[in-house]
Amino acid sequence: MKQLVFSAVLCFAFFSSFAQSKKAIAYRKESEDMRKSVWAWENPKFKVRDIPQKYANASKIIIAHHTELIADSKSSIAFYGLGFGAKFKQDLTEIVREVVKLNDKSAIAEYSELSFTQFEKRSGFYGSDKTSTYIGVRIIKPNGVIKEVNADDIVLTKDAANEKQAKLAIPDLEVGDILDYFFATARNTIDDMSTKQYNLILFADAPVLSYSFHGQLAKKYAIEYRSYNNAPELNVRKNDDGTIVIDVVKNDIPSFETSLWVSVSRQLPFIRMNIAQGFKGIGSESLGISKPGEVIKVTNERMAIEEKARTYSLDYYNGYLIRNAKKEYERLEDLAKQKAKQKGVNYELLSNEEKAAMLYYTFRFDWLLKFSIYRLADKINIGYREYDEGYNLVLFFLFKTAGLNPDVVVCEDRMGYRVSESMNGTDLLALAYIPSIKSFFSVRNIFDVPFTIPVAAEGAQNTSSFSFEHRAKDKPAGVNNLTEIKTGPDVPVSKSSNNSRVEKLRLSITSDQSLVSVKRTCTLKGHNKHAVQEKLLLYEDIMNYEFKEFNESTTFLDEIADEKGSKKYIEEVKNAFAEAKKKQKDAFLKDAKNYFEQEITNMKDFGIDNPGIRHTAPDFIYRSTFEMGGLLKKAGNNIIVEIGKIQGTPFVIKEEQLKRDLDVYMPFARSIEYHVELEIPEGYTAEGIAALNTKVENETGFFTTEATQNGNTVSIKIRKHYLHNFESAKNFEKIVAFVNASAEWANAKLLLKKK
Amino acid sequence: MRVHFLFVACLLMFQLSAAAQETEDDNISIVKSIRSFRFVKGTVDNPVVIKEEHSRMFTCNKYRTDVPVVELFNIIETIDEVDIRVDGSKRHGIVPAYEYYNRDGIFYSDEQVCYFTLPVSKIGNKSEVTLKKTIKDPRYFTNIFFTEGYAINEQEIKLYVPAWVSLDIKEYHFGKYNIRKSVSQESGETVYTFLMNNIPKFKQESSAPGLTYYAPHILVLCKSAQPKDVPYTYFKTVKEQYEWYQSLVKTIGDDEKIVKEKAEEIVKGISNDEEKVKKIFQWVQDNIRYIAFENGIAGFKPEKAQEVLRKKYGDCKGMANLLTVMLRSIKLDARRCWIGTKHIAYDYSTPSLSVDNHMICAWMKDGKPVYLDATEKYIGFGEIAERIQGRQTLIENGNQYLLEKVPVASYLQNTSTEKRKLVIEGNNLRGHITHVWKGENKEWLLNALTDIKQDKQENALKQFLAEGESGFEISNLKITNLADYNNDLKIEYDVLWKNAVSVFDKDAYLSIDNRVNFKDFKIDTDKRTLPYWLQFKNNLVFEIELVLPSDKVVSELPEKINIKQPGYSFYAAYTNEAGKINYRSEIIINNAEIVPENFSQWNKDIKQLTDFYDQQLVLTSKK
Repeated sequence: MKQLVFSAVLCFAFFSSFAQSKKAIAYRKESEDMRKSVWAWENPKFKVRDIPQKYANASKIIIAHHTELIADSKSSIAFYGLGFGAKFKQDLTEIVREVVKLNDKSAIAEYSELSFTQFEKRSGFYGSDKTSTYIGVRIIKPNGVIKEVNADDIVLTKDAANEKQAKLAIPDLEVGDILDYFFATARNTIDDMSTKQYNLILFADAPVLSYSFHGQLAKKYAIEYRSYNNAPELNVRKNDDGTIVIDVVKNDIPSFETSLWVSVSRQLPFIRMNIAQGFKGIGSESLGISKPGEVIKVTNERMAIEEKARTYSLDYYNGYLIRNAKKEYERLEDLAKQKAKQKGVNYELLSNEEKAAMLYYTFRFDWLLKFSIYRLADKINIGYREYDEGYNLVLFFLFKTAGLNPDVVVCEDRMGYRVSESMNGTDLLALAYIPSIKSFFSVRNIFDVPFTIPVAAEGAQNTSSFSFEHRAKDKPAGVNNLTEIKTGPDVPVSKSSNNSRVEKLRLSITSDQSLVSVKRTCTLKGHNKHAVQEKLLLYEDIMNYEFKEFNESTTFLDEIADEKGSKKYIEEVKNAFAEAKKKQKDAFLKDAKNYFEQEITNMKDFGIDNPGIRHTAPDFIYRSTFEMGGLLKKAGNNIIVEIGKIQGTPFVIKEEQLKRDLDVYMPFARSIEYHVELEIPEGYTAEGIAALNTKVENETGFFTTEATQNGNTVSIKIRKHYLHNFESAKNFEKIVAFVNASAEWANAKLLLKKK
Repeated sequence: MRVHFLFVACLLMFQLSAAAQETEDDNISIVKSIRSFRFVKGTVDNPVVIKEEHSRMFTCNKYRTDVPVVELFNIIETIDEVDIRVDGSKRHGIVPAYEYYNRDGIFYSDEQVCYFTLPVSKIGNKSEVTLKKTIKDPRYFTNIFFTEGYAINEQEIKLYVPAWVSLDIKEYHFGKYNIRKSVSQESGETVYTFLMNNIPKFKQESSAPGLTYYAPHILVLCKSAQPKDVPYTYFKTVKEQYEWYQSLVKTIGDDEKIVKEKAEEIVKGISNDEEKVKKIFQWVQDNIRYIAFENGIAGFKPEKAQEVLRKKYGDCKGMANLLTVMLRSIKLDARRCWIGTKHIAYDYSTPSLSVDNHMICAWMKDGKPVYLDATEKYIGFGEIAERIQGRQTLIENGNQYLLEKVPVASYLQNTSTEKRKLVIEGNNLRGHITHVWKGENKEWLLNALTDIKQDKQENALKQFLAEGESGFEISNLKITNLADYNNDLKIEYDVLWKNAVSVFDKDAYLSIDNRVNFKDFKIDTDKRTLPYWLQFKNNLVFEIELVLPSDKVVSELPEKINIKQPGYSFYAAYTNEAGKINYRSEIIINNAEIVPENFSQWNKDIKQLTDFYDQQLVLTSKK
């Protein structure tokens, strides 16, 4: 179903008696007027009927896509709850019209139903919005006949007082038809000075013959924009009355089809606009607010950083500087001292590195892991919880309290906007950093360990750092400026060996020669850990491990049982943990099945050897024993071992992905290794060992296999390493070479020949 | 056609509780469930209504948790009151949410859902929900299921039937649940009471029969009522059900004149009646999209034929009605047919809206119906989908009706035949392949293909044919009858199958069957309790002729297997002729249901089939 959901628009607070109420009638009239107006647009691009031969086989072709944005603003004073403050009424209208040729059933199915938010009303203390959406739909038959759909034949799928969602089934739509439709969204709002982000997307999953945008915004608006990745610039002019007129045109955009290793923000064309009512007055400069009528092409790479500094200054003021805020961090430091004492060390004598780690683990233990009966289900499923960037600031506050003189390092997201192309503070990442030990800290989940760097931040250069050494200033705006923006450190990049999966597999053949017995030890490092930890590691196991690490005098469960307030529910806790434990076996089985993609049976002796949640023992290691099908073929008295299948179905770069002009953005450098020890059954010899050896190696990575025989054991070491997280497009073929060598090796076989 | 509401409500409850069970197993149970249904006199518009009151007391057995509570309603079945008590208190702050309920495959329906989360504050504590509902029309008061997504310790279900209401109650699957039924008289009403203890939670299993096949429940058959002076007749027999359907049909408002023009255009130049039916059937399959509206009576009454024709979309009723009117417009005898798909256990011996959930069309050829189901988008004329095979159908016949059974098709209807001619070239195999699909195998493939954008279809098809193997290189792909469902779908291509041959010393080892149909298709007997329903009866034929290099002879061929069971057979064998090997396998599924008693045998046979696939041909150099 085609879904166009707009943020807001015009009013009709009448839906409870929608059928024939005055407002319903008014809506229909408005809707009809809107259709008349839109269909009357004289744009020859909408009338194109000839599809270029090169697109003839496409599922659909967007003949024309046009957006009209009209923002009219008249200033007025609105009554504010507390009787002060100015607000501005806004009327915004956005019309998106698209003419699309539908060439197959898949395209018909996609456009068969249109879904939209017909009416939305948001209200609150500081403002309210009313939004209505009108639609128009016409079908142009191959013989040129135009059939208009009764777009008021909608059905409501949500009918709440503040929100109406609607659907329209498109009648008489057939392969070969051209669909000409629009969504017009009218928004009536009383708003503050907030900035609205508006994007023009210049790529699609279908060829676009003509893309255009026309905006008319009243002179009180201010616009900041950037064009990304060869998107055209805005064509800006002003009418005599000061209205800002913006146009964008781009013709013949081929469809964008590859999603493999692509960074949208860095590689695909689009234009970002920040639209807000401009403001000229006291504090506008320090608040980073543009003046009315300004249309600014953002070239200042400091803009986003400065916004980040302002936001974090405020957070620093409210979360640390103001009275009593710091006490919580002092409490945490005291707790860390106590934990250190439990471990038999004097906190004061610890190095900065050791102190930072102790503080980090104490914070995690006390803030994130702490048990609560009232959030039992949340705790059991805590592995799936993701924490936002604000927790990195908490780490900064904690380190600052402890006198470690930390900074906040602000850097680009390697899959997001480059720092030089950023526009908003939220475009950038923030990490805690201690310069004296040159170490980064962040917490995104309970498995994170200190001194590791999030994937997104890896390799960032041109970073900035905030140290918040200023005292709060007297002026109200002072809290927006509590730090200097200094040059920050470069963020290191991890290597393929840092993010590894090493599968140690001891294989033997079952007595009926139909299955392979597997003794598996899997070691995951770095960025490879989290996805598996969250499935296999239990909250109870984590707590028991942490209790031991902190040298607590009791066990986790005993502590609950002994505490006055909690012992009454200890049975419930035990039951809940027992149930989680019972399910762990299924999780191990599922993990093996999904990874090896073979039938897995008789799972036993499974467990976690190391949870990998401390920097002193950072690897996540788990083991299991099971039987695996799908690897053996009988050949008379002999056995063929399809050893290549031990990789499961290795990743393959498909034929249609081979042609590539875009640079390659991979998540991170990584490696997968299998260290296989195959026991040759008694009475058999192994043949074909030499043929198992492979080596494809280049500057982007490698796939190698080394096979040897020692006594009755065949040892095979399979190694696939993606050496970098980024490659230029010209190196893509080199990636293909080793990736597809790994896929081909899936056919590798070994013969066990009966003596 | 509308799937009956109570049925959906039960399924939804089971789905949601199943989701909860993923983390909670047997933690939640219903200590006590008391449910009553009382017929009362209504208004002029709804002269007889049923008042339902359902009180459930939830507890947790292991640890405190939240219980998702959901209740469906619509314009016929309304929720009048929701009473929630946590630990006996009404001061809990829980506010039920009400929303439209979106069901997969239905564009719009009047179904809404009332839902909220009910906390159970600790082991042994109880939280209680009491719902009061009104069912405005006895026709819609059909089945009452006794199971829920949680185990029920104690349950009482009562029906209060006044003397002015006539009904029958049919009991289903009471067997192993020790459900005690009693009938008594109270204040002039007949009270049917069903008492039961320790009802296990409903367990949902994939590819299983519908709920009515195994869940304990009753079917309430409302025959008539006379609340005041005027008598109301519901479904005394199937005759009254047919008459009600006919009354809806009569008010459709079909305009045959408009439809006729299109029908004549489609069959222009064709004189043979059967050819005309084929043409019109395929036109509806191709041109009418499935979009279902199920609001109020639209769940039962077809949309006007001319409207479906104009809109080019409709649901099963709309398509069946359009087909009927189109065929009638050109003087062919076509009938609307009401039918319950295989999912429903009932037939019309228990007249009820729960009996059917689908509508098709029948063309009467020489007095015998030929069934046309245009919702099956790629099935050929005369082919019948598994889901309606053997089902009783209520066929229009003027003021009367016909009750017929849709024929059960042979497995041969769905035959897929693949033939390969291969030669060995070093480590590779090269050759030509033809593959022909019929019936539901053809429909399955065409459905999958047309979901894919046309510029991506060839690649997707190649990957499907290659079973995802990158070394299975396909060229000269030729597709026949892609758009003619009345003929077999045929795909031919050349193949270069790289590294299919493994050479060790003087011997070459290879597997030439990479389809390995039904390999490892075992049923998990530890977890499964319900019959397994395969998608359709099947016949998979695979023949390969492998020409041997002149310097090789066969040293090992797998032993043939020939398993014959009442519901299926597996045959696979290699034969060695001069200079070549012939392979033939045939999987026959002539009963799409595997019942639990046969799981063990099925697994044994699948193991044997898998073991066969896991053997290699061995060729050796001539001495």
